[in-house]
Amino acid sequence: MTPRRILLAALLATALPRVGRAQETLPPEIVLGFNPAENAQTLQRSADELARDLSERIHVPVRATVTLDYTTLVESMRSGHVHFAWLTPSPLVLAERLFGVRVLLTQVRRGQPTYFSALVVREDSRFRTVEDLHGGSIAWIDPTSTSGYVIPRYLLLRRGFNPSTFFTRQVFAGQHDAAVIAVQRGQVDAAAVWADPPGEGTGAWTRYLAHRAGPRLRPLMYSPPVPSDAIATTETFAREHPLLVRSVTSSLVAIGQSEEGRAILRRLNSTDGFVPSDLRQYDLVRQAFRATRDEQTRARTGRFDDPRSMQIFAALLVCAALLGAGVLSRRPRAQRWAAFGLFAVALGWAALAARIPMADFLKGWGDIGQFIRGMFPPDRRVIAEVMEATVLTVRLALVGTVVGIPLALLLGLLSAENVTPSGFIRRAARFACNLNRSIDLLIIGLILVSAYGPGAFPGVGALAIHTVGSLGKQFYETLETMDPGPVEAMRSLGATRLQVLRWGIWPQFTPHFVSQALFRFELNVRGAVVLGLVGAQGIGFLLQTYMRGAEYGKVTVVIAAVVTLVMALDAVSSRLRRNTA
Amino acid sequence: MTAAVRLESLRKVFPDGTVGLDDVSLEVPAGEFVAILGRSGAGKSTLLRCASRLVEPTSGRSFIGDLEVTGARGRALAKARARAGFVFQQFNLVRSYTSLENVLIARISHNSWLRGLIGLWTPHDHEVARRCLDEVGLSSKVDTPVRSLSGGQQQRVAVARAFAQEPSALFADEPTASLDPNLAATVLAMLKDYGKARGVPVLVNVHTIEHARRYADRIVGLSAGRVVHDGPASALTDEAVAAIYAAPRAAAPEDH
Repeated sequence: MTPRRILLAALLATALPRVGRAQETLPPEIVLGFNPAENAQTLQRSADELARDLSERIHVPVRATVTLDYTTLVESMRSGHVHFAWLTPSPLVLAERLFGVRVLLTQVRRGQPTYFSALVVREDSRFRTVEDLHGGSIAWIDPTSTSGYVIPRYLLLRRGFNPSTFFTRQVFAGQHDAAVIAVQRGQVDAAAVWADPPGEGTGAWTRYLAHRAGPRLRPLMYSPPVPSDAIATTETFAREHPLLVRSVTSSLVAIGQSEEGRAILRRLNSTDGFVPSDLRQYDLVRQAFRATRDEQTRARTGRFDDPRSMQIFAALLVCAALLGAGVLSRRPRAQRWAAFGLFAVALGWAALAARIPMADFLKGWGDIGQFIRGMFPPDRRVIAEVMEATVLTVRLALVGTVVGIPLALLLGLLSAENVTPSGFIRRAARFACNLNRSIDLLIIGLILVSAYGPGAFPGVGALAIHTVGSLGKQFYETLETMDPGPVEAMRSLGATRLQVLRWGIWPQFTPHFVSQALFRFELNVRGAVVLGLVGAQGIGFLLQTYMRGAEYGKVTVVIAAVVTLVMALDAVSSRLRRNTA
Repeated sequence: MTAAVRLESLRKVFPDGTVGLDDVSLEVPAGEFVAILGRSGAGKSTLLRCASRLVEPTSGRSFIGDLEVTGARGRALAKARARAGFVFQQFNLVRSYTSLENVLIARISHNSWLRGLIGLWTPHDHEVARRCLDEVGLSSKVDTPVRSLSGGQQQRVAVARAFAQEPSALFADEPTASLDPNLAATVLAMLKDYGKARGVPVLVNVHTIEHARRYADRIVGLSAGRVVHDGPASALTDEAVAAIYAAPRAAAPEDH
């Protein structure tokens, strides 16, 4: 133990408990939020080590959480699920726009609190200057990536190039490793990635391709120094817990100065340590962020300004009008041909939107082939892990469905004309069903993930909410087709409204109820797989993790599991439904 | 003698303006078997349904025994409806349930609301239900699901259900229209025997005049919602039949 650490421990041991009794109540645990930079799993391990070290220093339980993306991390901060966040610069600026942020520390790498962004191309390519990239394609990281989008795009804009027209194709690679791999494979001409200082010639392209065979990459353009990642908390949290924030800050600095602490930090994006930061350092990022946001808004409106697209549109209208006249003609033969032509024109116009890259089409097949080759042999080591996640997915779907069914049934009954006499209640219940149904499962999932943080609960919640609307509508539509005869008979027997429902409607409805609920469960299992992609737990989350880490052998196992699961469910549920019908 | 079923100026105007019943008054004493004749749309079904308030009459009053059906609300209305046993043309049974289960539901008005809701029938209910099924000759089909019974057997289950209700009046709306002539005669005979044995008035809508003549004590003719004939079955002349089935006067609904 270094003398400094002993001193700090002593300071905290005396300071914190006293404060806890006085005005500053401590949260039961502190959550450190990280954004996945490379492989989410290795990052989680290193983040856990840092959390453990920090916890020992401040005597408060510390947990590390790796969020799915920058936006989730910022939202988790805002909702108070993450107390301290390790933020790259542009999410920091994004957070500043949304709520009060206090920046505590800036990350030091290679002895500097700054880093760089570079546009990289293949060493063997013809590109010598940025201008050469005109008409080419580029891989960005994602719209909130500082070095992989905001800064390089801002620099291009400042040089007078509008990226939307300058490049013929832009893609988001998601991760820096995926971006450099895409360039290496020739899928895109260039990528925007993080870089070490210009003189060293190293960066994402040397790091992630170090152990990969194939062409090397070289930088084409460097950015000015960009401030490194920040450790930040919210203004609210900083105001409520001033001493805690101060001790976390000083402990993190101390970790960077201790031997073992430094070893942990090295594994976290090659961090050497932290220095106190100054918010003004981030001005470059703020400007760039603002510029790229404005540019996106402008680019979205300019579609019909282009005279060529107007001409195409006019030609299409003329074709459609001519063919439309043919459809209205009296001669059946002309009618048939015109209808066929109209359909062809409409299909062609719709296909333009898909922007099928005719020239790259076959090349794309080759890349898919390469992807498929990468999937074999399947990585058997993850079979247990995948099976566990599969079972979890089924459990989430089951809970979501079962929780949703009673509410769906209630809404269904309240919406059905032959059950609920009040038109007002019926309309209100139907409106609730339709409102619910108009929001896609995935969107509900995204909203819940941002509110509760990634995990199993948002997945279950999204499935339950989705089940209420979709099943509710199915229920009332079926209920209204029930034979009114038994209902009338029950009324004649002197049954009250609820008794009529019980004996006149329910026995008829039961088989439909069972089969529809079963089918909904089946759909919810598939839904649960997809929900994994937005951060709900389960097999989808695993798929996402493996894809991002380019671990295609593991992806194979996931795909096999999903296919088996869906087919097994289909077989079981169709058998069951046949029996109840 | 007090009438077991008494209708006073029953009138029914449907939301679309059609006049279903136009000032119908009728008294039926205990044990009498009344056949109601009339063209389709003459108001036969509406009459029985308004009398037991399965359909809400626009005005007028309906009594079963000394209870005014038209005055009841809520639970009391349910109890009032239970006074009239109803047999429907399409049987209206719960097809997935057995004969016994269907008949047991008729005991709903003899039990507390909760028992009726969850189907907690008493041993007495079971006894009544089995006896009624026996009465219609279905003691061998007690545990057969209704959906696998023939049409005639289903209608007999429905009749047993109406019996098990222990009603103060029996209404039957075209109970024989879906059955072949032999079965039709059996069902009508069962209804008549029940009415005579218990002193319960029976009102039956029928299509076949021979059936009406053979089983009914009294025949009521309806046309365009009005009573156009009322007399003993033995006195039903062919002219009277022709009058009942004659096309109604077009202006009749707008008369007043």
